[in-house]
Formats: sequence, C-alpha cells, structure tokens
Amino acid sequence: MSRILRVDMSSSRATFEEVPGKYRLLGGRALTSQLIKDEVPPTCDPLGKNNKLVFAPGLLTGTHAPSSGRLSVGAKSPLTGTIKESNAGGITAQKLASLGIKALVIEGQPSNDEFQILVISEDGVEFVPAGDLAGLGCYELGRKLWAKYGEQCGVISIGPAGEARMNLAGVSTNDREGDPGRYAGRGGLGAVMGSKGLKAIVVKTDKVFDVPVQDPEKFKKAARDFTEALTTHPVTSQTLPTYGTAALVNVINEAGALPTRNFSSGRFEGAAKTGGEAMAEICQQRGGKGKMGHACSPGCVIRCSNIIPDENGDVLCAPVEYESTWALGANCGIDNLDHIATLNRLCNDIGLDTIETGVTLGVLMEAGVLDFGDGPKAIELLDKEVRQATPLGRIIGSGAAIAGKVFGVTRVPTVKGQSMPAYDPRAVKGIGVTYATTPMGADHTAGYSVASNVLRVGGYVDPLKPEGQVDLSRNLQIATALVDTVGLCLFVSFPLLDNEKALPSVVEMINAQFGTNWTVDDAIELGKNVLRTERAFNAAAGFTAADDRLPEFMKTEPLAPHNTVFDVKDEDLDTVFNF
Amino acid sequence: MKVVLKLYATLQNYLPPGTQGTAAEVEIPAGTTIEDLFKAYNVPLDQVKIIMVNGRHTDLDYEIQEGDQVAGFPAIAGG
Repeated sequence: MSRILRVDMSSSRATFEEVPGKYRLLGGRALTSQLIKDEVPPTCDPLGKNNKLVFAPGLLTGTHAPSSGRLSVGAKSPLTGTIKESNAGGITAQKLASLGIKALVIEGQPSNDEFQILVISEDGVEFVPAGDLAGLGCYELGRKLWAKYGEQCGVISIGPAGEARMNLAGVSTNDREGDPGRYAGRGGLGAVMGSKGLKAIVVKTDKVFDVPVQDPEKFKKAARDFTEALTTHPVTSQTLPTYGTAALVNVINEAGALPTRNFSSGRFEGAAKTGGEAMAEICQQRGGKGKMGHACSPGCVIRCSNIIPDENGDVLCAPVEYESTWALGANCGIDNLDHIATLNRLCNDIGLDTIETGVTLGVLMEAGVLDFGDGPKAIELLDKEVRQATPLGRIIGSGAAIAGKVFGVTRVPTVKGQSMPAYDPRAVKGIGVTYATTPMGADHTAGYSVASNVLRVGGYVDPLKPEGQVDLSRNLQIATALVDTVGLCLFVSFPLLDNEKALPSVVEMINAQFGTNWTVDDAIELGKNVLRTERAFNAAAGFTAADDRLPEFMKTEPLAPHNTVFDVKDEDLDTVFNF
Repeated sequence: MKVVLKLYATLQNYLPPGTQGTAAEVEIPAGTTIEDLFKAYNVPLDQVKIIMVNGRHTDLDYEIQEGDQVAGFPAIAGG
C-alpha cells in the first residue's frame, strides 16, 4: 500500500499518511503540482517556511515499464516565482516507489542554520545531523554517504549553491556509479531544499522494481509492446545510445538555431568539436572509463547517457548531454570539450543547473566580466566565486535575469526569469511558443516542438514560419504533462509521436497497474488537468498573459543565418491553453 | 560545380575517403539532385531522415545549386 511521507523540518518529525482518494491516480508531475496547488500559498516566499518541496516517482516508476525511472521534484520556484516541476533520472525514484512512497513532502523550516540528512529505509525514517558533510560538493558527499549507508543507496542532494539558497541551485540524484549529475536542475529547487536545512536524502534499500501490479500478465504484455516501440525506433534504439543527446549539436547548428555567444547568432563555428560525434570519438580514443550508451537508471532501454573520460581515461564527467555542452559551450563561445566537461562537473559538484549557469555566464560575457570563449576563467568563476558564495558568485548564482539587470545587459534570454535552453526561438518558432507559455518559465522539455520543427519526428511544421506553432506546442505540452506524470523519460516521446501503438501500450500498463479502464483520451485529459492546475497556481501568484511572452530582443533583433525574428502573434500565444 | 556535402552521426562514414570531420567539398555536374549526390557516395537513402540545404529543410528531389551546403542526418533527437 503506497503512502505519503510527510517530513516537518520545523520539528524534525516524519509521518506516513494514507493516500487520499483524489491522489491515487496521480504520480510524478501531476502529483507534485497538485500537492503544491493544494498546500502551498501561491504568494508565499519560495524560501520561507510555507513553501514545500515535493518528490514523487511517476505512476509507473518502480515497475518493469521500460525507461520509467523518473523522479519529479516540485515546489514554488525561487527563480521564476511560478509553480515548478523538474524531473530527473538516476537510481532514487525506483527505490522510493519500491518502498511504497508515492510522495515525499518536505515542509516547515528549522529555527537554526544546521543542516540535516534524512535517511529513509525499510525500517523507517531517521534525521541525522549533517555535521561536516555540510559544505561539501556533491561528489565527495555522495562517496561519504555510500561509505556510511552502503553502496547503491539512492542519494538526493544539494551542493554549496543550494545551501547558499542560490536561484540556479538544482537537486541532484545519483547514478549507478554513485556520482551526482542526474539533476532536477531547473528553477532553483536546490535553494528550496537548502532553505529547509536538508543537505541530502538517503534512500536505503536494495528494492528497485518492487511496486505491486494488479494484473501482472496484462502489464507484462503492454510493457513488452512498449519496449518494442522503444527498441525499434531509430532515435531511441540507435542515435541516442551511440551519440547521446549531444548528437543534436550539429543538426541544430545546421538549422541555424544553436544559440551562440549569448543568443547573438544561430551558428557556432566550433559546434562540431562539442557534439555527440566528438564525444564518441573521445571515448574511443581515450578509452578507460569513457563510455557512450550508459543507462542513468535501471531498466532504461534507451541509454542516452555517457561517461566522458579525461586524458587518463578516468571519469571527467557523466553525463555531458546536449543542453550542457551547448550552455557551457556554444552559448559561451567555448569549443574545448575538456573545458566544457570540467564546467559541467563543477555544476554537478557545486549543485548548479547547467542551463541556467551557462546562460548566466553568457550574459556576464556580454557584459565584459569575462571574454567569450574563455573556458579557464569560467572554470575559475564557478570553482572560486560561486562555490564560495562571494558577492560575484552570488550574482552568478542569481541566474541570468538578475545578472543581466546587475550589469545593465538587455540581451537576456529568459522567460519568467528562467533561462532559455539550447534552441533559439527565432529559428525554431514552435519552441518559442513553449518557452513563452509553459507554466514553468522557458523550458524546452515542457513541449518539445523541435521534434516536428527540425527533427521531422511527429510530422513537420516549418520552423521559420509562425503558422502552426501554437497547435504544435499545445499538443506537445499536453502530452508532455502526461509523460512526466507517468514517470517515463521524455525521450519515449519520439516513438510515442511516430508509432501509433506506443501510447495505447502506456495506457494499458497504467490500467494493469491500477485496475482502471482508461482510454487514451482519459490519459490526455490527465495531461490537460496538470496544465490547468499549474496555470491556476501561477494566476493566483500574480502571473498574467503579459508574462507569457519572449524577451523584446527576440522580436526586434534578427538572428543569423536566417535573419528571422520571433513573430508568433501575442494574441495567438494567448490561445495555447484554450482547452 | 562545387558544393559542400555534410554528413553526420552514422552517415559520417559515407563522406569521401580522407575527409577530416563532417564536411567535404565535392564537384558535381549541373542538374544533380540530392538523391543523385547521396547515391554517388553510397549513402543509404533509407537511413537519411533530415536533409537541409543552407540550413533549410528540403527533400531528395531538390536540384543542387552552385555553392550549396547539403547536409544529411539520420534520425536524431534528444533534448
């Protein structure tokens, strides 16, 4: 029987609660967003005692559904002021689900500045003073926690940035090697965890796939069908395991949509040196622990992750994925993969969202604080200033929107205060609609229009024209809310878009697990409800249609090489949620 | 006429022998389509998912013009 684990950091008390009926068929993002909507005052201070940090495995997480090991993390975001859900892979979600924990709600706030470690096991819940583990980077922290609590335990943690309550602090979960790097990175959720005095959550159990299923035979068949969809689609069966997500660098660059030097061009001359092909070559040349086709969570059949080796074949960073190699690469004018991987490792260690960090560094480069292309200086800024939370480190830690204001920069690519990811909306207009309108602030994962705009997955909508982008983004935002609820990796979307048998098999797995009789339409309705819930929270927090806009320069500064601006009309953006 | 052929990911192996990186300048007669060009280099057409000329999407029957940058990709996606 699954339960909700409620942890009050004011009194260091943990209680298990029955799952109310209305939450029974919610999971992942649907559950974090609904709990926040129900329990968090929308106007609260995100770092105050009334905010809550909610962790929820997806509906299918902890079963044998392939690629279903996602952990949703939600709160009111200190970066955006909106509701936030950010999800991550790693090994912890399946353990939480297998312990019967449907949601973990962290609430209240301690009256002192001491950090604690929360240890969850089959025997119960324990609060342990963090002591000298506070202040550690996530790599050393993870090693010490494995030494103390056993290898293979799940570790959710924050680094020094989260302890310092910085806006760009993420929440890390560990991988099967015990390293951090599987981040619920976006929206400053690490700062919320820091504000609760929580340095880490250890989930101590060997259970991985122990969630009970009501109709195992039916489930097995549907899971087999879904696995087949994933293992026969060329993206999930070939490109992602061979080249990782960074295979996108060259295609997005070719399309003229790779944001370069703080969104001042859509092409980067050094792109090829930072892409998936270059990473595969480095893994082959350097050997050692280097690896493409690495799985971040047990039971993933896609295996898009990688381990980038240093010159001696030791682990430099795992993974270096598309968003990170872009944010810390092209966006900063850096084409040295070792510098990029070192920056990525520092983000993982200090506990930073790589996207927000790279975009903020790009804004600082624009301001002249450091030069575009200066990898060593960027490394020094993260390792010295941000890690130590110096005044300059705190400016960086505030994120691009605030750093832009501090330095008087107007080319600041943010929506609702959150940095844009690796697709320039002037050359991929469908993703611009998603950035503008998703309740999350600029977020590519919320409705990945790039699929149809550039990659020819799920049809084709011309990326350079405004027509058709609103419908594309709307449908993808709904489908994504569903995928994030089920606990599936977003990359299953490619087979879902191309293979008409894939979505029914997902719905069949849900029916087999919960004894429901859902149709595909019921599942889509769940996705719509997630968006309605999130939008209602944001409206009550003071957000209006005026916030569903891209920054002004995107409408006035043409982007090379296509020399286009973002020209989807405001009144059309306002129809995205007409359902 | 001279054009630039770019092949990426799993298609990289079909670039002319000795090519460094992912692009090569090649000489073709006027009237060559992308299908003709790909066939000349034994690029397996069933593995080509995305075709761009000068950064814009196009198809196999496009007739290549002097100076065009022709790019072919297999199925690629991620995030």
